Amino acid sequence: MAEKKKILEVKHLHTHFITDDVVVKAVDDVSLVLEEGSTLGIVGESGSGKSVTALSVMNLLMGTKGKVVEGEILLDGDDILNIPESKKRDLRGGRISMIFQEPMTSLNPVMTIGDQLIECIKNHESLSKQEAYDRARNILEMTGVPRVDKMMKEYPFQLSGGQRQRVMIAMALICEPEVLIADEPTTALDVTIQAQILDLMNRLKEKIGTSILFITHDLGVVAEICDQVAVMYCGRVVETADVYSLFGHTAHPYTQGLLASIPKLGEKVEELTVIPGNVPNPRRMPAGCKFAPRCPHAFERCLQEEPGFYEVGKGHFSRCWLNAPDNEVKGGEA
Amino acid sequence: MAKNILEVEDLKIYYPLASETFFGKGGVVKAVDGVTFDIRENEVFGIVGESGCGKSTLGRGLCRLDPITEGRVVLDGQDISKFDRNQMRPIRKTIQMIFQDPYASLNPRMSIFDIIAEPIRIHNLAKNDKELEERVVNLLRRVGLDAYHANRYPHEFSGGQRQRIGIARALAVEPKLIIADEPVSALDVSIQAQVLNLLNELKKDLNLTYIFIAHDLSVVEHISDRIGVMYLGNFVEAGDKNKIYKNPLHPYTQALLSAVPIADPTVKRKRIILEGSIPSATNPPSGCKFHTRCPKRMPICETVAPQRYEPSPDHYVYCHLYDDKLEAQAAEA
Repeated sequence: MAEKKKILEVKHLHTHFITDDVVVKAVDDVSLVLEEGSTLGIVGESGSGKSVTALSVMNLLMGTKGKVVEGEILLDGDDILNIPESKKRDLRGGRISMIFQEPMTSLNPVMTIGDQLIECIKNHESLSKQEAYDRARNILEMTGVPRVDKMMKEYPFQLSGGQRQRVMIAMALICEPEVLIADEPTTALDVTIQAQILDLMNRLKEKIGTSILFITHDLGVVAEICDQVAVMYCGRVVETADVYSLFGHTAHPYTQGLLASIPKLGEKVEELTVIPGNVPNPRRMPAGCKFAPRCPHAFERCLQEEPGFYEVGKGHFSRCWLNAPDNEVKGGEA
Repeated sequence: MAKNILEVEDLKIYYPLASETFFGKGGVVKAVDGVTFDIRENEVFGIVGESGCGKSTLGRGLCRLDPITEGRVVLDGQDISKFDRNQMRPIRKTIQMIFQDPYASLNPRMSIFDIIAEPIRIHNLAKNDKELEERVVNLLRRVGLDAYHANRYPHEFSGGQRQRIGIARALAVEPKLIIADEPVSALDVSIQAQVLNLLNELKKDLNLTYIFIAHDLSVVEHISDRIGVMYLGNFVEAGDKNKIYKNPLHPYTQALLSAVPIADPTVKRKRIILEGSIPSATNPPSGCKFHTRCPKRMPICETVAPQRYEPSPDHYVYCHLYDDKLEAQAAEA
């Protein structure tokens, strides 16, 4: 099978938040590959660094204390990290765009839906007023909102949560970007509306030919929509694989713990398996493997030395000493 | 069969809107519009539904945090629906509540000790300071925290720990019935499992009864014995959990269950994708309130609200599809 084109590559990304007394390594050596036409899911709990990774890719860290201190981000081979701010502006919303969790706070409350969509086109392309209007109307229609012409003249407060998210998706896709970053796009929505939005994203992905970086905490959503998955914990990718291997041959104890701790529809268990303890404080990260203090399989080496990223199957990597080739004897108990 | 601890009969909770607003003349929001069910001792009754369906209002109404417009709420044989503030006081020892947001539901200026001791003091449940302290420490241990946590303040705790504190506060008066409104939805999955296990353990050890309100269908299935599915202020289906999850009868329940993402990429299901979103509760559709989105709607659904049918014991559904008479008529025609 021919190798698919890598549309977005993140190489050894380090994003740090520098405060007065401490440096928090929110993203610590993260590498990701998004193949053309596919959906890559980034899963993790709060504080795992998944949103900061997305913001780093979008170059949206200005105004925060965060800074990319090391690493490369390539969009279709072009470096998008070390370019002037004016070039970055062209990129955002043009070649790469983003949708957020809370559609109400991401839309301008005093602009009509139509004007917001048209503004987005005009920032990137020189079209006549009529052409821009038609284009905005078309994309809005594609998202399946009712009464398109009326909605073009409406304000965000007049729409429901699901409709606002459709408008956000329309806005993100209006310039037919190569990459769409979706940061928890369905978390604030009800399940039936979530089903509508996931369905819409899948359809538009094929129609427009956009690749998607999908950030979520919900493993159910990952299983439904993603082709590849990266699991993050404490700023690191701890496991990455295609969706079938990740769920079928889960390698990392953290991923195993996450999967075991969600109640599953139609499955009867007296007691849920839990991951004991909490995510460590980013100011006091444990030495060695970051997951070791909560890991049921942790042994001495885990507490002292950080494991590498070991291949456990084709394209399936796990950051765990149990998966290290030179560690088969020690890790035997698992 | 276990006896009923709570019986709810045709409960209605309406909110008046401001009589004249910027957007025109106000009406009423029918947040809960005629709900009937009962809860047995030592069971978990789950209430599921999407945002705006009235599930939180129902929970708050049951412990009289929201005023009841009409209907009866019978707790242990006593109708509490018309009790005033003073009459409700002793009742609050029997019913307690746990809230969704562990950040907003704890007073940031009170120590954990004072937060948990407050209900004990109000109800005069401790003879002296020593006993009070003992009780607080026991409660903290009970929910998996430690005695030294008592002197700290809410901001020093994580979300999961705060939810444990909220649970300890609810347990302080030794209630029989706890109404938990989305107690785990603000928590990360790994922490969510810890709190769910704690709730289950407490239920067994202390002989508690829960009303568990949530939008997450997998969580509700895990913890409940019986459930009620709400849509726009009404139950559409209620009864035994296993029956409803295995064999959902109402088209809304069917769509809801099919929309739950399953954490297994090898499972490919046919999703029922509902059109549109929940209509406004100020101006709900006529007849069956679900008819505007229902894939199986019939002409009668637009005009006549369905009654409660019981196709099998302890499995109730509010849908014309299960009206035998209608079926007979259709067969004749």
